[in-house]
Amino acid sequence: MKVLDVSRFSKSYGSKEVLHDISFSIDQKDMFAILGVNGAGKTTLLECIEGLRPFNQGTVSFPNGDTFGVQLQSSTLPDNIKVGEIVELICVWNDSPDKDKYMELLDLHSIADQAYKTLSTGQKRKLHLILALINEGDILFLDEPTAGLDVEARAEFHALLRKLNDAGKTIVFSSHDMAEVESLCTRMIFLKGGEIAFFGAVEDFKKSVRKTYTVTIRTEQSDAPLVYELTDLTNELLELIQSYKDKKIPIVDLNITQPSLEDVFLKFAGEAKS
Amino acid sequence: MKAFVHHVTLQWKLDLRNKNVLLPYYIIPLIFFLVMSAVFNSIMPDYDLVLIPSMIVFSVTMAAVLGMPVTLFEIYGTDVKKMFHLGNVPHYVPMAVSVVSSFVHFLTLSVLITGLGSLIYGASLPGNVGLFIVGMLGFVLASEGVGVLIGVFARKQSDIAIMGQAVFLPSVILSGSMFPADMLPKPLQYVSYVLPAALGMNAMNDGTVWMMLVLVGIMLVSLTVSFFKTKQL
Repeated sequence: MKVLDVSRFSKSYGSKEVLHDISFSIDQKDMFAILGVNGAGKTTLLECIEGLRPFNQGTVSFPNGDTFGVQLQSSTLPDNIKVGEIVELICVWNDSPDKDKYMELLDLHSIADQAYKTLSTGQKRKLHLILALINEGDILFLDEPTAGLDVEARAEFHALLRKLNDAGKTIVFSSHDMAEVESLCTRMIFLKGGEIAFFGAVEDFKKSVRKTYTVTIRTEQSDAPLVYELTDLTNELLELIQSYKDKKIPIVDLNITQPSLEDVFLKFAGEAKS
Repeated sequence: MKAFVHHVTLQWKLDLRNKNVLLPYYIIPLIFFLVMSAVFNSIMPDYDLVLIPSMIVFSVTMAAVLGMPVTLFEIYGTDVKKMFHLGNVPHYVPMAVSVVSSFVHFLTLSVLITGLGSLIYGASLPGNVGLFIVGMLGFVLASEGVGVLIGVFARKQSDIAIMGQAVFLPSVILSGSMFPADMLPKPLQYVSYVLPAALGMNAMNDGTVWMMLVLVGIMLVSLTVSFFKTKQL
């Protein structure tokens, strides 16, 4: 079931069109990634969908209702407000009586009396994620949610996102961390030059350039490994090995690698720049 | 309503924790009041008759146009407004909350000045206490209206200081709180008729209905314009 449908969407700043003819949809329980190089328009797209910015053309619809939570990239709060106070305030405005439930989700009790300005980046990210959950929306939009977090905090974040997704929440986020997208997300779009260069499953994104395999060979005669890019593994690899055999050069090590999502991202990003 | 009351209470506490607010709301006005009242009392024989309204005008004007915009800018001038919007806080609420919270602060300040002025300097209240209170309330509300306008129209932090001083200095000079307004040239006396400080000074001493109407009008126009401005932000 679709929970978000973006159709023929365009956004301009003045005369400069930054997003052109964007169409995609997100299904319930998707863990959906918005990828693209810096300045590709990820934040603009997210903020237009969230209703924080106007857009020029197209439609953004929420067939299942438009209650959603949002964690902004540039989230901020008054310096002197305490963690417990802001959670309680947003709970009160959302008629949510259970402040403690949210405080416990990411163990905010330990920092409940700390002022916002004294929080670390990781603590602020945790707090903003919790605030985004209070309205109990079906969709959660997160703009680079784990930027600046250490490994432990990131793992804690990922665990919570998986838990929320398992509980039925649709999660949409932009990220620069390809390992994160690879481990968490099921589907994605890749923005390039203001348009969608890819829309589909993360696995399919990887497969889109997976035709290239990197084969690294070490021989007794060479100090440095020899690297080959092959597209037809079955035939080309056999031919390559045969060529070594013909030259009577013994192979001591052979390694075949497929591109990671990061490699695919860099390839797409490179094409975007060129 | 419960959420609004909760928000007002929280804002009141936040104001007291914010030194950028506490200084213009209480500390500087009260220091100025204590020092300058002694000075004016010694150089102007009849100053005790106007000490209380004068110092209320000076203090509340400072708090409203130099302090109040800081709290509003922290929300409307930053992404905090987006955070509140996403948290289902209506766009006008931070403004309304600030008006109510500051009203309590400004009344507290005015009561402190009235009490301390009588106790320390033997200052007397104007003849008609009821009129004085009504004039003071009208002045406080009109000053808040101006403070809100500055707070929601400022695009950067430095705008607050520039816009605040542009209102504060003429207010202090033209209101009659430092020296009798009838010593001013006539054209400047006319200018003072649109300043809440000058109107407030007159309203507390010798209020008339039209002064109260202008004060309430300033507040209503300012808050209405600010309401629509916060909708656009």
